[in-house]
Amino acid sequence: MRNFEIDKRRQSGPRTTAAHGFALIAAISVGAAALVGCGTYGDPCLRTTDCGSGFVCVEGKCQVDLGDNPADGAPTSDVVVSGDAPTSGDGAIDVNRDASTDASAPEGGAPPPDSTGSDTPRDTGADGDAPETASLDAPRETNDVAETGVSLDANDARAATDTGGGNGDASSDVRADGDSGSVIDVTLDPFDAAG
Amino acid sequence: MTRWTVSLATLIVMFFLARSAAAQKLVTEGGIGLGTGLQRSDLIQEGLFQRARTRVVVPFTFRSDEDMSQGIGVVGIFEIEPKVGLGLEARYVRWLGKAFSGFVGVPAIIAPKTLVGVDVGVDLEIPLGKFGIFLEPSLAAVPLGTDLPGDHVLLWALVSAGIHAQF
Repeated sequence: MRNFEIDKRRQSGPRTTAAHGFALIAAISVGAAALVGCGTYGDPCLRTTDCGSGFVCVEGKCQVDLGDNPADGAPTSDVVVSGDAPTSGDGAIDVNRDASTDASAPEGGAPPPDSTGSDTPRDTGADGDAPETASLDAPRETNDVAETGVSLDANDARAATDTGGGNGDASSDVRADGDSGSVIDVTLDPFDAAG
Repeated sequence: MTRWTVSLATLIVMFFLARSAAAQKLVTEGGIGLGTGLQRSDLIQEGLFQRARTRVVVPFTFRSDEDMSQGIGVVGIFEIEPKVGLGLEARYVRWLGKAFSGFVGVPAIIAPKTLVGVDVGVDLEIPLGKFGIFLEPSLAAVPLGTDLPGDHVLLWALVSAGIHAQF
């Protein structure tokens, strides 16, 4: 009985060795993956998997992945939110991101969600396409600033700020001009946006 | 009835008395090696080539003992550096001598994204007793797969080396 067990063990030896070999290769592969670099911004790439998480391979270099269109993922994301657009009311968003984002932002309509989709809905009420000084959501006395015809109501101001901070970027440069133009420029740091 | 009985008995006797014919046997060889090389694409911006990923290759060849001059091969591909990947390659191998063979194949990376191409190469084998050392330069063109950023053909010039044995 004992000899039989020994023989059986001997017979299963090569299979066990092969299984151990493949397991060793898999372990080496996983270990190597954990140790090597990860294709950060600007690194050369010829394959999409050459770039690390949050980056896409565009024209041979790893670029920040800002949207669903890798070809437009270049870090040129200066986002400008104007409180009173000259023709279509407030909320016109000039987003230099990609074509899909621009196409999905109809004037006066619902704005596109940010990359995380976590924005609270903007005010898309009656002031969507109306002239700025003619129609506001709330009574004029409560929203206008010093009777100067400032056309940014409280909800819009909050929404504009959300557009800049929607990426969870605490360091976003949000600059609000207090003049009658009520232009709020939001500059996104592309590196933080990807993070 | 008698005729069927005699026929069946004759068949059984012939079946058990006949010697087994010498059928062809499958000759299997396998090995393991390490490979790397150069890669190029029209996406490349600096220089002519980049270093290709280092890979562990596990080649197997199968051929009949009645026709040892040709066979088929399967190669396991484990990319390990700087990124990991897993693939397979199917080959037609033609031996031009005991220590020299050439092949054409279809390499495919299947994970984490896909690449499919064609390759051609030669295999130099240095016998060392029961085992041997192989040296395998190859060229590959990879035009298909989700791992390619757009319509760009990836070219590989690879060299693999390792040990092999006949099972």
